[in-house]
Amino acid sequence: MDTKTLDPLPMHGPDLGLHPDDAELVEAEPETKQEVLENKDVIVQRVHIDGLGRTKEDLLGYEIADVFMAKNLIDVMKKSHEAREKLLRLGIFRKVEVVIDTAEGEDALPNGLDVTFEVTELRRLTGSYNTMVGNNEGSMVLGVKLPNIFGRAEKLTFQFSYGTKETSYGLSFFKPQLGHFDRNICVNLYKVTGQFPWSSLRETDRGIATEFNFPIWKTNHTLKWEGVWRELGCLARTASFAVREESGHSLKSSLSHAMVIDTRNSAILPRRGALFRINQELAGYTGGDASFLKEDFEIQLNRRLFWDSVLSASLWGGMILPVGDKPASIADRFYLGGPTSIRGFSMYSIGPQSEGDYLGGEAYWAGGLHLYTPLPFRPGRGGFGDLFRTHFFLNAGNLCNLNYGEGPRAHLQKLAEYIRWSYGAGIVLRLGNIARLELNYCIPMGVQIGDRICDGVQFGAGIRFL
Amino acid sequence: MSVGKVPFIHVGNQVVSELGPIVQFTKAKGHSLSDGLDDVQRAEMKAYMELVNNMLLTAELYIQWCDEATAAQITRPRYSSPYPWPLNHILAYQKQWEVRRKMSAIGWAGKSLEQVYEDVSQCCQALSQRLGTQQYFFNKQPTELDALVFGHLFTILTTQLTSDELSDKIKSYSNLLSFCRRIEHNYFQEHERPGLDPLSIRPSLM
Repeated sequence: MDTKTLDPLPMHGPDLGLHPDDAELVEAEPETKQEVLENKDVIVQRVHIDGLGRTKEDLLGYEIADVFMAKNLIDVMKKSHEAREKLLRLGIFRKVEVVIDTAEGEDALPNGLDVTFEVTELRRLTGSYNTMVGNNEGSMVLGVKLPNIFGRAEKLTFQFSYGTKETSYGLSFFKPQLGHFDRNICVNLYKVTGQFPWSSLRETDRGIATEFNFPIWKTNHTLKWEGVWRELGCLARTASFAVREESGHSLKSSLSHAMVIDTRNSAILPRRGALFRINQELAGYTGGDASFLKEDFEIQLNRRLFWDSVLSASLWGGMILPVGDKPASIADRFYLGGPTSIRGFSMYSIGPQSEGDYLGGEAYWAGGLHLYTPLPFRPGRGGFGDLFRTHFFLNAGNLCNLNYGEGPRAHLQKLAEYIRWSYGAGIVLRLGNIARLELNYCIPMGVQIGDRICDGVQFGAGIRFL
Repeated sequence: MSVGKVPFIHVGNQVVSELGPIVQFTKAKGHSLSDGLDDVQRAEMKAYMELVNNMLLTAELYIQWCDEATAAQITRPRYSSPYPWPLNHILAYQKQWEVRRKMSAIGWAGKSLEQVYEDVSQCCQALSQRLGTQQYFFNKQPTELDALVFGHLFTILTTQLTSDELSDKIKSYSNLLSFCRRIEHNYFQEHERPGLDPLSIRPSLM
């Protein structure tokens, strides 16, 4: 768990509802005091928030409303803590402190309480500057963030990345619904360039995306419309003709829906919980020339075993169905292989290829079984050593093009023949709550002609691993 | 297609684009159209090819993109036809801006349409004089110059524009016209089709 969320709740203020005479009682019999406090009925008379500048009050009313419902002291403490969490989640305050005091003033009841949230707002404009070094490319990344610009937790972010090879930028606007932070709308404008040496392809995307997130019971849904102007080009003079044919401009306008249920305790090295994500995308009915229906899903299950080790199983799969007679573009197809996918194979180097350029496939599945254990002999326990794990894995999967004329049985058969798989062991390092690094010794099996393998030691860094 | 310009050839694994590289590629394979020429003639051929590139090519670009009437009625709709809205407008205007910028860089931006027609006429006159009554520019055998001249003249003659003035200028040089017909007949027609004259009835290309 991120240590930030475990900040203890600072509590100030004198004894509550007790007369000074009872002070002796306090010292002599601590158990009695606890009992008294817990059973004491209180009424929360006032809840204020101090330190507001540009934040509008109606936004906060929803977050702190629950505090009024508290019936006894422990309840007040609990509800105030929850309200504090909610206020911090809005992303507009740097610090939130809670002060619980006896009610004062003319209408103060003997068991009345005043709860005050002392907040410090984030600055109007924050900037960041990073340098990034990647595959033979260095870049400078400039970020500008305007949190809470109109006072209701709206956020505007701008990021600009200037590299030796490519330049990208993006502008993003986020607005949550008043009182329901989990329901929010996000609009992005971006220009992103990427280089994909495994396909000798260069892609420049300029697009707008509008997404609407909302929870339904325990699941999180996202509805998104995206319009992208895609420009594909070749990375090298030796690009295969199949890739050259895909070059050019195209416009994709798609509607997509994603549903996520995530009960894991962490996204990076979860110890328990499960993830289920399913995503569908329909392109072509709102304009543009890319026309397809794309489905993909991700399942992950984690279970703690004996001796602090974790067993994790994951399954990914997807399919793209072109609508109309044009085949799916190379930019929409699925890719498989690599340190974040089936280990032991080179990055995205499995499946249909032409002269060494991997073209991706229309359907795929991939599964992984992992056993994570703490490092042998547990060096650095309690500190640095806890970020590492040893890991034993088994990965398998397949990527192919389907002949849509045949039935589902034929498709399953095609996906089941020529399975690539690999096994091995290695070390995993967790980087905060965002990314992970892996160094594995892999043995790839089931290699088909045309696949590129990376047997032996393989290094991987990323956010999402099979 | 990827970065590069038409014409291109796809040979085995290689893709070679533009006239210069294609000529060099075929030369490396052992075939060359200008083998029979001596050095003086070869230099002359290069000079004429430069003339065609500088004059005819630039004039074609000017007429298509810098003349507002032609650009609006013919060129932009044609250029943007493969793309969906709004990409069609974006790409057509982007290309127009690029071509116009190139025209300013070489000093053609200030020219009027009439001046451009005059330039084309002068270029055709030079070519016509060189051709004379011969079959090809360097007597009996066609060379790269013939290929280049044919490519441009044929395109001008068969492309529909807002007015016929440009193709009329070419037609006024009868030896150039018959030169085009001869090459088309010898190299591009599979079967004899009597009664049909492709050069006068072929619809707009591209």
